[in-house]
Amino acid sequence: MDDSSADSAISRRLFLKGSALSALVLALGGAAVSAVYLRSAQARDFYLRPPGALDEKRFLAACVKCGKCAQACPYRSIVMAGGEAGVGIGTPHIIARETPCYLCSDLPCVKACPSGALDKGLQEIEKITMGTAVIVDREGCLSIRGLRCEVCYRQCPLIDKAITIEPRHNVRTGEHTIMEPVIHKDKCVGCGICEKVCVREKSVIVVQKRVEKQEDFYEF
Amino acid sequence: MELTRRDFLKASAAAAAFAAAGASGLAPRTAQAADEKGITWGKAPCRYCGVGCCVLVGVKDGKIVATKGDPAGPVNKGLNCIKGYFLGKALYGKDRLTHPLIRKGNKMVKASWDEALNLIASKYQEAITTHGPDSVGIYGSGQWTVFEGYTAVKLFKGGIGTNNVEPNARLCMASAVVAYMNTFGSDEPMGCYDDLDLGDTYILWGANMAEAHPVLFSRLIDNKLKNPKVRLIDIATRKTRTTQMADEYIPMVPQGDLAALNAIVHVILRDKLYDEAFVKQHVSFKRGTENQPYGLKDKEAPKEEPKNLSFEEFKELMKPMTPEWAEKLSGIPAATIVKLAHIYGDKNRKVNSLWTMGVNQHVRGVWVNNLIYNVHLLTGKIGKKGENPLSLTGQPSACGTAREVGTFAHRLPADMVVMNEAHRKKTAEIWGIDPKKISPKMGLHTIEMYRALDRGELKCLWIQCTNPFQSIPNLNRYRKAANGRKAFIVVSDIYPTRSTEVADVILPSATWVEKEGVFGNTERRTQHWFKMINPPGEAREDTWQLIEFAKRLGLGHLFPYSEKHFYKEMWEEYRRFTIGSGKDLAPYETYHKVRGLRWPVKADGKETRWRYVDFDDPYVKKGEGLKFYKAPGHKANVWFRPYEPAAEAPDREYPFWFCTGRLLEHWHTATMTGRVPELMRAMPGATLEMHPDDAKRMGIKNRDKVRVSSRRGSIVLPAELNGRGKPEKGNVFTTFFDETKLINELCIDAFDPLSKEPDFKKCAVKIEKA
Amino acid sequence: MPISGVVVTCRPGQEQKVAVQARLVPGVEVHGVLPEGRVVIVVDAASVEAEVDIASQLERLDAVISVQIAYHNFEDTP
Repeated sequence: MDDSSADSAISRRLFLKGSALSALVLALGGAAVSAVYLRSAQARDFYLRPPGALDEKRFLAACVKCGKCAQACPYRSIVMAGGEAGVGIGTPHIIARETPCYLCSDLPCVKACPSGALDKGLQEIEKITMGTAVIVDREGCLSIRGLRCEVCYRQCPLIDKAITIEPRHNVRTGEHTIMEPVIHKDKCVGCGICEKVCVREKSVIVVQKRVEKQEDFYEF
Repeated sequence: MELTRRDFLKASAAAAAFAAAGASGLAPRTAQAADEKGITWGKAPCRYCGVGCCVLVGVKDGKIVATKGDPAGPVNKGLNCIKGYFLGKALYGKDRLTHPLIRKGNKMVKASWDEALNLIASKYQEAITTHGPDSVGIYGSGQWTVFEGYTAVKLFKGGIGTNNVEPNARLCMASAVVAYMNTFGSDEPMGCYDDLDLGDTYILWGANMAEAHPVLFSRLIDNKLKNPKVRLIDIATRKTRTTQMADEYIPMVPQGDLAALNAIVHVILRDKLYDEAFVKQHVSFKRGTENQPYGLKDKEAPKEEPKNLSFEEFKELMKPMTPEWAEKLSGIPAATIVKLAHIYGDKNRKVNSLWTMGVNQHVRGVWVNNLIYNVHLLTGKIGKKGENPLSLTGQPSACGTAREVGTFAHRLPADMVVMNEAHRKKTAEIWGIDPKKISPKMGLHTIEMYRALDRGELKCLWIQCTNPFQSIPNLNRYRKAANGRKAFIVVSDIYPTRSTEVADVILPSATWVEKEGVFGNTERRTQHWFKMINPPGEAREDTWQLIEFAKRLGLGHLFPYSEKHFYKEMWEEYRRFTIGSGKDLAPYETYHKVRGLRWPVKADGKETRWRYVDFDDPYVKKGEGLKFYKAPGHKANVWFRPYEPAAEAPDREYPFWFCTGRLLEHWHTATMTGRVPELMRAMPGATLEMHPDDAKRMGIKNRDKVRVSSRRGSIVLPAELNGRGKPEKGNVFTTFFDETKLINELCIDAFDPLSKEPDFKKCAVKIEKA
Repeated sequence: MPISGVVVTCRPGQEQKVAVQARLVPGVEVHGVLPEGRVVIVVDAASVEAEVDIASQLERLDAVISVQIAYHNFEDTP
């Protein structure tokens, strides 16, 4: 998807305007300014960065807040953080519950990034490390309660790799199966599609900071 | 025990319990009908699929505020799938139809019930008078309640005098029905869901149970988890979530089921895996008529002229159908076919076959059903606890309403047919009409109904509780006909749909718990519910609509039921058809409290889990063992059914097989589930599943828009290369729930000559990047 | 067709809620509630087996602690 395509997002002017405005806000320490991609929201512990993003510290240093990645995204998944992000104001991130990353195989966002904040070394979807999905509310998960849901699993772009179903006997009914979605951190890329599709009012599966594999003295 | 002594004993019981509870000196309070949140609860079967989960509906201030799976429901024990989870929301979409609407030019204008009904009656009367009763019809649904179906059948067949009554179940279960009738002489399964708990081998023929029968699949898998012996074999043209939990996946070329099953029978005969004594006692052999048309020409009339065969003649006919022959046609390796035959013939296994639309929506669907029964009848693996062939039903009341009440062009209630004089006489007797009123001629089956509409021969069509202008195959022809105003079309529904948009009159209907009703599920379980809330605006239930219409045609006398006991009286009249038929239903009140009963219901009010066997079916005496008492000579038929190709296979120009189906998140054309924001969030639109190698060859990446076209229509869909369903190479798959993607424009309206059921699973398409 | 008088003990304050749920179990007639978590029920079942099944269902309801039979008549049970 190239910048000039009609489908492509908002014009560059608005982006720059947004960035400039956000810089102004920072300078003025003033009220929120709204622009199409500039969103004031609750401050977050974790910002879901676009594919290929360097680790957060280096990312914040490298990102020039140009907005090209957001323009390149055909799904408008990438939005620019607002004043609540502090130092991260104007940096790109993804609000999975609204529009997750759909893992374009040609990684247009990475291609568009001029500063290397999104590492061009990333060439394959499977190597993306945006984050790790986690079921944060097991009691609220319908699948774990024994109902037939598993929407996160069926919609996962890495079905049977990033999320698998581990079936077990439903002790309460005695004759049904609990089909629990289990996330595999080494395969989950953190795209957030699961977070988007969860049918609960508040998603019980969310993308969080990537969980890394640990070295063990124990052989499983 | 008489009632008065019973009452006395109950009072004693209560008094003793109060005493035990230490109530002396305390005045007991009446238990309120509502819980502490002010919610009253009532039971109902789920509105959606043929599994028939039991649900509790919580009502407050006239609205559904909560639902839950009914823990007392034997089918599901308190579980639901997410469609059922959101039942409460499905009725409250913003665009619920609340007033009758009449077409005036291009606009639909609000009208009163009187105006609308008067108009409908006048149009119907005009057509009947000028062109005869067969110039009108009604197209209903396997989601009709028993009362709605019964009213339609009585009115049209017994009142108007036409057999142009069809349900959408023609598109889903007709092949299964015809095979039940021509094999056993009686419709519906001999087993039940208990077989899923008690068996150890399950062979699925083209059925994606994981998504189409969610809670039932959960039950089946639990058997597997508890018993290491259990094996689940998935024979399909596409890998699904069912495949993921199966023990074995056997990929098959479309239409290959005809070859594979025949070869399995061949091996059963060759390797002497059949039960000689069983065959001698319970089986007759027949041959039908081959090389019948595919229904592609209007008014094509197929023939079925059965001939008797001896067992030896049958064996001779089966000789050429070797596993090697079947491998060529089905893509299933010969060794695998032999293995399957030996599984079916394994005396140490309790083998069940399960199937739904892969087998039924098939130009030789009746034949495939027959072939599955052939395997079970030859091996004697039938009529046993935990061992039966089980035809899974798609809709919540395809059994209870469409099949049992007989809402088909050739049917009357309780397995009877219009062509049979004795059946017409019995029906007329119960209906209190002159038997001559019922036409002996089979009416228009579904596809012919819409063709007759296109030809201008069907002048009036009333559509209730279904969405044919999204769901019938070769859709362009029929939508064009409707938009060309070739007939007067009435649509009764609850939301605007792709069918209401072509109607002359739209009537707002009451749905589910907005009316009293009865459904019957896959395992013959008849379930009742009371009305719990009022329908919105001026919406009225379809039964009322039909009776008001009947009155205006001077046929109101057919419905002499009192207002107070309307449902009971209609039920007791309908029930008369079932008594003594082997499909006996219970008195109305019996169903009020129980979570359904499986018929035939015995004199003591107990249900029947297994038909045709002396240990459960009241029609079989102790010591008689297994008795197919509805079949002529008490023998089930094994039919010789050869391989015949699909109506339209891939060729140079259209090189892919095109298959269509459902998924878990949405029901059918999503008129209800589409109004649940959470379900739309989970599954917003249809995709085209492709094999990644096919896609790569064409330069198509995941989510790329592709144009898929058949000889009949063309549509753009996003490609899905690694999703929940993975077609085999040379195959593509999509779903029909998306009202913005009328995929049925591509499908072919070829149908099985015996069942008239269209083949939604096989036609030829080409793919291009869009 | 046995008849039994049953006392369902539940968490205090939950009596009405339990009564509402119990009423939905086939064969159950709720005759009243008492403060401090007691619900008085008459069970009208087809057989002793069915009675036991109903009692199990009552036991499985939310907030129910115990189910005790206070009275049992089975004069016409086969």
